[in-house]
Amino acid sequence: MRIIKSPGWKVVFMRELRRFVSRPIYVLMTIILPLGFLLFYSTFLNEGYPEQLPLGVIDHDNSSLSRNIIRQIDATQQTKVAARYLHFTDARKDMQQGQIYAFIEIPGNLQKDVYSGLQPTIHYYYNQSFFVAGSLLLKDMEIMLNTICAGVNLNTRQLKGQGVEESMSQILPIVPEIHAIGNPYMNYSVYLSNILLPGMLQLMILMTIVYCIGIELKKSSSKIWLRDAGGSMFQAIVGKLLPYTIIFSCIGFFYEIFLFKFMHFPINSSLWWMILDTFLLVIATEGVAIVMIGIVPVLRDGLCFAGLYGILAFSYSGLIFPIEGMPAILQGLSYLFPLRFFFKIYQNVVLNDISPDFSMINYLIMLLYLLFPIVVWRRLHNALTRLDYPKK
Amino acid sequence: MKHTSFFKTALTDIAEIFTEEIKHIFKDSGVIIIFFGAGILYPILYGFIYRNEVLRDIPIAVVNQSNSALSRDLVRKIDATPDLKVAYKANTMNEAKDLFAKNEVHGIVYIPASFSKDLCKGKQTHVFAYSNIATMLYFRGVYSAVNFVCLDFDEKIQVANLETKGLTVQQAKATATPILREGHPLYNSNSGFASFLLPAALILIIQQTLVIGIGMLAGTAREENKYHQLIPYQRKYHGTLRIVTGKALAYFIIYLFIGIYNLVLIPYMFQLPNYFTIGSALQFLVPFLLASVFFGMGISVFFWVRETSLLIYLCTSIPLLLISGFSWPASNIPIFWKMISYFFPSTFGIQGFLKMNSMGASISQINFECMGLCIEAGIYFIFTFFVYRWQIRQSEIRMR
Repeated sequence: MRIIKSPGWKVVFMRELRRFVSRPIYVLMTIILPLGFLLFYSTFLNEGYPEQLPLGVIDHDNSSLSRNIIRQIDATQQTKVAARYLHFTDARKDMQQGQIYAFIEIPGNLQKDVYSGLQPTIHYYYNQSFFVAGSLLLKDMEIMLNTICAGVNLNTRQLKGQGVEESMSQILPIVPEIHAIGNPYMNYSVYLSNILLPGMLQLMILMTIVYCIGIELKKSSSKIWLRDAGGSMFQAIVGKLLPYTIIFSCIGFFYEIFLFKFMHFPINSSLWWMILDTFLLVIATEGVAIVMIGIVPVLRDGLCFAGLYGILAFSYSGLIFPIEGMPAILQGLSYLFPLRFFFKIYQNVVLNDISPDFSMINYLIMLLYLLFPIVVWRRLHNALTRLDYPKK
Repeated sequence: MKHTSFFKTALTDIAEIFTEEIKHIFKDSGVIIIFFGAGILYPILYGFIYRNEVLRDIPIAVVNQSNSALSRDLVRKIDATPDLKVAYKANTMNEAKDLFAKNEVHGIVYIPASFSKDLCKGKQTHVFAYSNIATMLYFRGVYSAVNFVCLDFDEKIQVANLETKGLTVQQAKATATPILREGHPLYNSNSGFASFLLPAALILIIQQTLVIGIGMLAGTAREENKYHQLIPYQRKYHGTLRIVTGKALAYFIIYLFIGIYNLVLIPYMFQLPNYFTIGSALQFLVPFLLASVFFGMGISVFFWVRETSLLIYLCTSIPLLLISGFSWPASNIPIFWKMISYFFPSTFGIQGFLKMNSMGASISQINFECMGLCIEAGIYFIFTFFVYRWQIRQSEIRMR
């Protein structure tokens, strides 16, 4: 009999490929579900920016001015006058039921008071329990009412014989011009997909890696695995993770190409930076996954921890609520999440086109996750050889 | 006489299955992590993460090329807003961009050199602000603060100009601002982030931990008995109904406590909106839990081994949060996903909980959500019943 010359990692790699095709769960976890997420996010958020948000109106005045105001609000793309009410209470009840996200109350005698210079007040109400809809409507209503107010002002001035340009420089001497860097369209799909999709990917990587190592412990096959690797833990891990690294990287690259090339998301530097970022996320997450199963070398518990951690990573990416806004003690935990640094690199290098020199520290941290498994190396090795953890 | 004995055996059977299931739950460390670890510690963790509710004093850089009394006053006013803090006064735009690149500041305000000159000449002038949209809350802060300060200045300048033209203060004000506007946030009135996100997360935590836990128990049952059936065949258990009721009762009672903890205690502890009393919470919790329990029991038939529920079900959490319509407005969800969302108790649960607990709606005002939950509970109960009966038949056949 010839002695097998192939290096250990190669043997393990081939063994893992056979395991991969032997059970549908692997294909489901690595290919079908991740592609399903892409389908979900691209169809769910296809509108990009919520339009025609329903709001209500209470018109106590019913004058040509008040009707004009309502018409103008209805005419904008962002809002839709969904209902008219006679009383405040009716509008409030509909808001509680989620039928409308905001309403405007126009006082009686609005027109009369405006032309007598009595400065009547229009009250508007918005629902911040539905934060996104409430905030968007607040912004829209402010803009609309400012415009209407300026319109009345302009009218008065024109009646006094002022030109439009002169009047405008009087009405609005300082024009605030506020620009969003990187995503000028305020597109929510761009805002969310770029981090939620990689977030889903990191969750699936965690679960898959913990599963593929943990199942060896559960089925007591880890000794065979180590033997195939020639007794080297390093080769065993490399060979085992290689198929998943390749598959998840490909899925990640497909995500990025789909988002930036097909959906035409804004990108201000080369797509290669995004590809690199994605690859770093894949391998860094694998590093964390090894730590997970190393700390708890029992399949079920390892999966529980990996799952709870993977969901928490969405909060710790800093996308929705910035890390700086969290209590100081909890800010430190953000270093445990590669998704955080993936997001930082995306934000700085890709979206804002800031030289990668500024992100060196983030790249470094991403690579440090690869060394992370050292802390559990011994423990995991013992678990693999002694099989002394509960298997159920 | 015969009747009483029938009910008696039925009740003792149910009680027996119930205690058996409780024992299973407390013997299983995985289920304990999910039910009690995730169900009790997760809400606390999330409560602390979002404890600050709002962002205050977002650091920005100001490039004041004008450097006049008026522009300095504008900068002071921006600094005085609760949202922003002028952390750096940069001399050039490049300097400010550098600070932005280093993440030292999250926004830049640029006042051009001609600012004061233009204003004195009665010409329109501009103030520029830039912020990072990658974090929506930063942009929101910069947008509203700069907008507010500029418009406030506009009004003051306009009134001053009109007064020099001989109008009285009142006349000048009425010309500048013919209509006053006053905005009122009705619910979650300090625009708190935790008050917005946490209620939805709490409902989702209840549903997801329940479904995953039930899935793990079902998977274990299959792994441990000989024929890999969900329900081991035992002669003494006659009725499917008794098995379904007994097990459901076990989950239901445990989650009654976890539910009250999540929906009443946690909002109270973290000072989130809390209109719930124990009584109104129960009115809502009972249909929600029943729907979730039977949903979990029904789909547990798909979880062949104990890990499957975690592996393939956990990842639905974030999509489920989105399709519930608590962030992306429900009125704008594509019809296909809206239909899908109605299959999950969390959709009605999140909407109902937000409306009742955050906005003080009464149970009759969330009729739609309650109805949805009851219909779900009914359908999933019937589904569970038939799935269980099919499984029992299967194991009977194997036994012979």
